[in-house]
Amino acid sequence: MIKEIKYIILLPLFLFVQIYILNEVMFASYINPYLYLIILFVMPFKTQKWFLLIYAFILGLSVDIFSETLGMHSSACLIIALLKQSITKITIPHNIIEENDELISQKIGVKSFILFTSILVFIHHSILFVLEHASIDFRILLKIILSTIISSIIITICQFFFFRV
Amino acid sequence: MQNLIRFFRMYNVLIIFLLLQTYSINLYLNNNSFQNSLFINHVNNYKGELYSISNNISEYFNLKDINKQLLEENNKLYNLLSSQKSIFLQNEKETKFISGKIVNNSVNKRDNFITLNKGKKHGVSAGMGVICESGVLGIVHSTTKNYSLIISILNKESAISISLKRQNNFGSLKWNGFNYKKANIESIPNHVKIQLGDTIITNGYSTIFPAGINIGTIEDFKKNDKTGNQDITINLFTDFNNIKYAYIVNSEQSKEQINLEDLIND
Repeated sequence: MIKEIKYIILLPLFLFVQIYILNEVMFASYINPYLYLIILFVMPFKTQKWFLLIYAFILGLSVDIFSETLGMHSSACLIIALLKQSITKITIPHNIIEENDELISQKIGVKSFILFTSILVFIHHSILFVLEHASIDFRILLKIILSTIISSIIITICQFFFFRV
Repeated sequence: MQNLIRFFRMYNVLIIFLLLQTYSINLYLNNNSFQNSLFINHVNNYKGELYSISNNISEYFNLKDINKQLLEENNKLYNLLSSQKSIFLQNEKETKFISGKIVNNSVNKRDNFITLNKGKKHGVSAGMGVICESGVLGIVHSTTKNYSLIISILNKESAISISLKRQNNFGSLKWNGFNYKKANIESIPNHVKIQLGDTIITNGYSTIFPAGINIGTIEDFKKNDKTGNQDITINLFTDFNNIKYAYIVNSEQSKEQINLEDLIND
């Protein structure tokens, strides 16, 4: 329960960074990195699922309200929260982690952290951009792939600084 | 009854997920279509205040750029003063400008909006045009007491009536959603001979903008046999990523024109 309180305190902090700093930064004129996903990723393996879902919804909705994209971030975050446990089972060797460990690279290894992060970021960005443009074509696919690469790099770097054992 | 409780216990995660997901899809469908953006409108008032606080701080970092923009603006005004007679010939309609500061802006989404710190209190109302010193920005969508929300050109709902400077053919300006430095022009027929680098300006037919405000230059054009209209790409003069101040166009005589034209519809 103490870990869960820690994440509730972290939420406004990452929200602030996302809205006031990262939403103003753009690579190659239309790629916007989404760092706020990092709190969903590092949450311990055995968090209560209902807590993860409600947390993801509140996180997505607050990003939505501040960037005028109601419903897009929140539905993408909810799907990530639902898929997270099954994807961690596939990508991370299950004998390494204990139930209350945070999923950070010092615990699970850099290689599997990057794999696990980029799969989840790819799912999130696909849902987000398809909802935003309301269509699918080659340029949107390119935007999804480029954004996934940049968001994953930034999440991996930040994880070294903000989350330690 | 016990079976029902057991059912909820077993599938509680799925039920929470479905409930929340339905709610967010509902939000998405109701609020992102343009006419129904009631919720955004409501939140806008509070958000405007939040953004103006953060803006007050970040303003200091941009002082150098703003000085440069003001100098350019001054220069332009001096030039206008020195050729005052010709201005009155160009703008038959009398227009007033309300200047305002941009407190929130975006260029990377499919539908971009700009928030200005002038509202009903200062005489702004929905439907007025908004320009800046380098070109057209958009049209006022809604206003609160102190703030107004502007649909920028970079929005799929925006369509601005334009004409070519050399040929006087007119069409409408659209944005395809990717690069904020470029836009497209629709409904200029195939037979019109277009020159690369020709300037695009607003035409004075609509009552929103005065005639002759620069928008951009033609970068590329292609004939399209399917639609009968050419596909034209233009470079916008305005750098939407770097605008600080805007002017709202308030033309008194346009009301007279609208009233006159309404007679036909009745």
